[in-house]
Amino acid sequence: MTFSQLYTTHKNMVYNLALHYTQNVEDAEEVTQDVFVAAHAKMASFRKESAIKTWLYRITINKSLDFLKAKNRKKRFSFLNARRLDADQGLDLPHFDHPGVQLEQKEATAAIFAAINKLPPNQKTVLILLKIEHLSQAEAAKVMESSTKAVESLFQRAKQNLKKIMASSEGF
Amino acid sequence: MEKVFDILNSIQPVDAPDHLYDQVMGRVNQSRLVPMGWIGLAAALCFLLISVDVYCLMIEPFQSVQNPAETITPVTNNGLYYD
Repeated sequence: MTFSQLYTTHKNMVYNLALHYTQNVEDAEEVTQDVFVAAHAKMASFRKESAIKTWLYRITINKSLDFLKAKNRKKRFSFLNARRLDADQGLDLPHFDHPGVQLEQKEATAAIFAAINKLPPNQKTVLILLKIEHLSQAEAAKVMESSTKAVESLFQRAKQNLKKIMASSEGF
Repeated sequence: MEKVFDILNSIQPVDAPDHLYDQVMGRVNQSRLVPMGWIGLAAALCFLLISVDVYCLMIEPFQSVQNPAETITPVTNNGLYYD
């Protein structure tokens, strides 16, 4: 399979997965580029031990999490460099601009994602894979290089934590 | 929690923008060029070599040895001939 074919076949999957992590178009575009540049570099060494889709899922998840970590680090440093801190000022909240969300659901979805963003990375990943990407537990286990039981257990923990976070925030 | 998952379920997949492919290929082609770090390292090494050469030329030159024998047995008088 050529790189061009790989891109054409999987671009939407990668882009949508990046959107679920970053929740805005600009960041998702950047992550998508990172993923395909990395895939291009690693194509020759891809050993075909897993399906290409699973391989791309893993790269996308890793690149998305790396991107978010780097973004949070930048925010922390810009906070230290701020000349004046007003009482109402705080860290910028992630800009929610997910084009896959219907307008009437935007506020509710933004609140849910705000809670999901507070989960540990692996719990966030399992929720996204099972409940937004609609993968089966077996497929999610292959992507996360884990067992089906471990994925089920992780999902239950993610659900409980999400419930706690949403109960403690306003509106839910 | 079911309401939360129903809302997440309603998220629709979207098409990736067309311009992304050009941007990806631009970055792929850029990564094929020699990285700037390597160029900087090579420049620093050249500068170091030239500096060492200049330093070696600037220090007092060695006195050239025209007759190696003189340095081994310097003869300052002809006393032996008058003994």
